Amino acid sequence: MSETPPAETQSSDAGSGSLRERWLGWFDGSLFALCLASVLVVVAGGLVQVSFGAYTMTFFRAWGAVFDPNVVLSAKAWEAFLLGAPTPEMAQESLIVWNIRLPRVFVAVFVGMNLAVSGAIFQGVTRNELASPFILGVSSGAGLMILLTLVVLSGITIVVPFVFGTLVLGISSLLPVIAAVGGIVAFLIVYAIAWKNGTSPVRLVLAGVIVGTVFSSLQTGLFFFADDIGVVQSAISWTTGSLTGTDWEQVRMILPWSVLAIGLALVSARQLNVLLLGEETAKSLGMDVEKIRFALSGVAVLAAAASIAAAGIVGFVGLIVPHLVRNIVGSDYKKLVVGCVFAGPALMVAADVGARLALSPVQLPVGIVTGLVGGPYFLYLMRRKQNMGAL
Amino acid sequence: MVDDAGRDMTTRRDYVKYGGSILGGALLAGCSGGQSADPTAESTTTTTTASESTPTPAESSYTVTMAPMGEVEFEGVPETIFTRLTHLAGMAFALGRGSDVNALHAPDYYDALWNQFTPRLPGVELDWTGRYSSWNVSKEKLYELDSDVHLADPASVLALDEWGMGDIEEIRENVAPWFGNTFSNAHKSPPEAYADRYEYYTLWEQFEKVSQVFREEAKYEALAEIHDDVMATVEADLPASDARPGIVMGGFSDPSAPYVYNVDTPGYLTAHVRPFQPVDAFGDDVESGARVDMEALAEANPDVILVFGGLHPSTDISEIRSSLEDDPVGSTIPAVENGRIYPQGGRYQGPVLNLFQLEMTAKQLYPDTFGEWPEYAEGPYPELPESEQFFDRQRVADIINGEFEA
Repeated sequence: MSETPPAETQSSDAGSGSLRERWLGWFDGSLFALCLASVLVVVAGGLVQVSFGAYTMTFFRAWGAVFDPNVVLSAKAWEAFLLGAPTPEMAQESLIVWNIRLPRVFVAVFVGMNLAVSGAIFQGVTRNELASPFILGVSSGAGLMILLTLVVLSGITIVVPFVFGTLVLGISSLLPVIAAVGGIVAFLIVYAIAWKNGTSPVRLVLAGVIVGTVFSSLQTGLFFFADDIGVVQSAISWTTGSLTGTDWEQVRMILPWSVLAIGLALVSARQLNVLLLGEETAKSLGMDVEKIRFALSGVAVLAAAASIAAAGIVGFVGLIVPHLVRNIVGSDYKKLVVGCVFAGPALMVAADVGARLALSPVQLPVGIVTGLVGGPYFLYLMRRKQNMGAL
Repeated sequence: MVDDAGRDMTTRRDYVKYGGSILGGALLAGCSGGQSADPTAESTTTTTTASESTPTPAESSYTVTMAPMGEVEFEGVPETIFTRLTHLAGMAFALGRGSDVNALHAPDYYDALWNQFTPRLPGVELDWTGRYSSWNVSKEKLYELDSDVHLADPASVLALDEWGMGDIEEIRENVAPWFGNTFSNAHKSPPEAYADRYEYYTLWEQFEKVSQVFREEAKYEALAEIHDDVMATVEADLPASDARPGIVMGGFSDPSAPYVYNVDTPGYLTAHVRPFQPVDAFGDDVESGARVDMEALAEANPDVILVFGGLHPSTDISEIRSSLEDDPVGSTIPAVENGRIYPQGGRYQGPVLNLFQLEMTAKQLYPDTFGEWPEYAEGPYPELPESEQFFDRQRVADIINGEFEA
């Protein structure tokens, strides 16, 4: 591990030296290496995803489509991708690459990012290495709300009067909000159960496991009684986590929430570091521990909910990625959050390559792949480390 | 591969004598070419089995033979009917016994589906709502229902977690016999315990057996005759193989990532599609129920898309059509461009639904030959002008209700 900051890359005015030192002081070699490796994995995975698929086209044609000037330089096309305007005419290959293959990579990036950051925050808040959105009941709460929406409320539209006209929202565009509500409610219940003159990390995890189990049972119950095979199939796809069929709509849905959640996570890294010192120390430093813990949990819930709304419940990413990053850059949360922002997408994009192409044209849920990769890695960590659990 | 045509039906039917004739001798159907053994009539008067302590005089017992059960004895015509999968519940319905069905898989779903067809059958009514949902059937519930026959494949029940061979036999001895065949659906492998005595039947071969259970051979005969006529219509005019469209049958609850189903595999699940010798736009590497994405759909490039369950009231086929039309990739698929997105009913079809679905599929695939399929958005099976109908609705209704001359 090199301790020297990387070569200076930005021009600096006089007087900002201290700022730069502050920035670069913690951005050390190991974090840089991790980010670089992650970017390479995402790029490589993206290349594979764009180049191959069920639709037959040569490698060169696929790449011709990626750089198709009619798309890349077309304001109309970008308006369609990012704002949901009607898609302009384009060649079939460009359609496949730009409407199916590329957005799926972007969704994978955001989902991985959100889950990893969410897991990192939860692990900090509960000071428990085994915490994740999965284990604290947030996933099952969000998943339950999504299922309720799919089964009970599908087809409802909400009309919002808007400055530039009327915005008609289908229920699907509200799924992130709905999922977030479910996640927040589940987490509030967990908090209430764990509360006894304040919470403790262990109590939080225990309560989370209980609430998660109950909510998972309700989820199962929902589609156990569903007669319609379509509902059952959607339910299974949501609860296993799948990126099949995601396109720009999901990118548009997850992007703003991701920016918000990741931004908040980056600025809260210092508070997480203080929390890690232990409750007593944090209090003596003048921190309102319960309030901060709660606020940070809110950020983590938002991040998890956004990813669930786009891809369903993808297991293991929120648990594994913070571990992996911690092993490389240490437990300073400033580094950890940044590392997760890069490493989460790497795992997710790589896993989705397998989910999409292993049995092409048949699609696997990506949650199965992350589980298959994540489980063994976690076992390996357990065997390697003496004591695991408390942070 | 034998198809569902039952070309030998007429010859086979000539052997049957009504009024308590009994058929024995297993049929060798499925892959062997569908030539069935001649039915042999025999009267049996055995009344008691070793397990029964109190012999009861039988009205007149009879036996029916079907794999995997072998020879099954009935003391009298069963009054209450337990079913699991709807191909068998649909057979009970076709024999006028629909209301005696006390259990089926997903009763409310299939009640709604069947009742998309009953409006076209004057005087035929059906209500399966609130029946016991029997997919995960429990032994205790079978005692509680106390049915006269379990119109279900013991091999498929054995495949459930909590069932063992002992349980199957216990129910047979203490409640009522099993009678059904599931794995003919797509010629799948039954559990090991039944493997050596398993056989595959077409939908109509199985229906013949079931009609013998209820001593309703005449109804079977009359419906089979209609089926023969429909098949003759289809075969006479079936376009040459180079004029056949590529087909995708899929569940489109999420239109951008459908679950697809085979249309050309053997078995009764395709009894309404396979006779048209369709071209499955997906190869054999895609199993029924596999999920694909829009890219795979564009690659398959189907001329026709059949929407799984599209006739069911819970499926919004207009919504599916507009989703596919609005999808930038979806809109490039010929089936979508040419507006050839059609609804389908059920794959676990009984004989009556099979008749309707043969007619429906014929018009969907070959409108120039068999007449146009009307633009369908919702509601029951469309009312077609009489000249466009493949069979006489009134006649089918009368057969179901038992008001017909054989």
